[in-house]
Amino acid sequence: MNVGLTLQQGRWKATARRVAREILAPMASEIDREGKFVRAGIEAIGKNGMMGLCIPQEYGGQGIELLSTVIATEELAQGCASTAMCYVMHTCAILPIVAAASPEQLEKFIRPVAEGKILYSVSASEPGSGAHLWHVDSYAEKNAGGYVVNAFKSWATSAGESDYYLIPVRSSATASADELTLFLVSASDPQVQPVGKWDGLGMRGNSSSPVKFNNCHIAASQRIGHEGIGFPLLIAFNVPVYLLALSGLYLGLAQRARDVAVEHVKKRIHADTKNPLANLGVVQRYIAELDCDIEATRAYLYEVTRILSYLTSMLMELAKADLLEKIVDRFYQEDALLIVAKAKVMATEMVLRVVNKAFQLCGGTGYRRGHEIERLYRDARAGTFMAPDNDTLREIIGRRACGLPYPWQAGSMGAKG
Amino acid sequence: MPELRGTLFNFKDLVNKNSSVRKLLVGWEPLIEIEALDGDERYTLIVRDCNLEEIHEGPAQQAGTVTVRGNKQVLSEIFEGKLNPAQALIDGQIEIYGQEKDMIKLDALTLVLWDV
Repeated sequence: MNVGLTLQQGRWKATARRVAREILAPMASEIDREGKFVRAGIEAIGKNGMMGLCIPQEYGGQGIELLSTVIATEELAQGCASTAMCYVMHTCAILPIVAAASPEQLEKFIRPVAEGKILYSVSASEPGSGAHLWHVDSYAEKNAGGYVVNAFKSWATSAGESDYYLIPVRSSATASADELTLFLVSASDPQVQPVGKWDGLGMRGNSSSPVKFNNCHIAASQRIGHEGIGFPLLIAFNVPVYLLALSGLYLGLAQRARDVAVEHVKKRIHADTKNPLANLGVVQRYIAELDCDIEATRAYLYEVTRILSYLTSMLMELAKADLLEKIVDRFYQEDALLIVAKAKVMATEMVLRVVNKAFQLCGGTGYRRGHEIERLYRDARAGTFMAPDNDTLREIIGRRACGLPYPWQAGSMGAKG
Repeated sequence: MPELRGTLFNFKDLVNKNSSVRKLLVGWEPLIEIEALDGDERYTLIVRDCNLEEIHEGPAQQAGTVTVRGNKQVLSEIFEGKLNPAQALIDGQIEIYGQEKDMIKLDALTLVLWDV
């Protein structure tokens, strides 16, 4: 089911589908088997103009039009979910930079992205905070040349592979846990050290290792926005894009699992009946359940993305006029974040139902190591606990439904993550 | 029911007194048409030099940059700061015609005006 895409969205959908089928899918099995980083896939995405889809046109992008990004991610995930995950974590770094960067920073950090020359990664969570973006322990110490940061970030997609890490740290040793400043740290800095080699159950090509920022000297020219504006920037421009694109990824993964299962039941013929499995009523019902689940999520996700595109554009206007901090609390009150949080919960739980049923339809064939459904089953599992994990999101949704403030407005909501 | 004309003139005064809102007006000089669907009221707001400079009764003499349409009560509540225009747009309480960047700017302006 497609719901009225614009010509531009349709073009990016077709481009992403072609890249997924012709470039990503043929490499996906090897990437999964060997845990190889998805470099070739990222380069293909860049060559096809998709690394900066959400960048405003004045900086060489396509405009703050998030549905193209979500749809592109959905399509890419059908070729290789690991590649799509690196794409998500790159894309969600872009708008906080656009919103707060100086003209010089925009030229250095944004225009090359639109040309496919920079891969970003966001690294926020820390051992002490887990999924709680509003509680960061590490901090920046100001010195004459800029800042010194010591931080251990628990997860960074594309660790050791991206060109820059966008990291939030507390603005100083005395700053509160949510008074954050954003820095772009070059991966070529020898004080930036990925820890170990990523060896996950699924998403095995995205290099999701911890990263240590060890006495890292960061120039003031790599600070994004002024000190202390990090949290509003993340809430307005990083979290919504991340949750929407991530939802698109799991939607695409579910679609691929469904397609693999349908192909299987059309081809698999039992010797006794001489009929394909597709002729069985129980199989048809399974497939109908998959379709209903996928299309309900798609309809919600696309609708929410259209709304968030509009709101994000509005917030960008405010950020460019230095008014973001004054308005961001009002934005929370309007609960725009909640509809995005619901999309993540829906998509990441829908995909588990879908891959489980698709697995059942593929039977023992799919259980063999190297079958695509087996890989999709493992890739799908990460979604519900990726930060912010679904339990944290449910608590936030539930709090707001009961008229309670957001956790960062009310103090800690308790240890989790 | 609030009176739309008076609400718009109060809105003009508030905009011009608000330094934060005026920052949003830099480089933006639209003709904004406000059209009440449940009456024969139509107004044109002229923005110039970071000021909401004039309000004329009736349609714009030239094509408006942005047209906002809705019932009088909804329009009044928006320009009194009682209703978030972005939410009203999402809920189908108003229609806005024009370039998207102008619609976004108008929404941002009202949001800031009633919060700062």
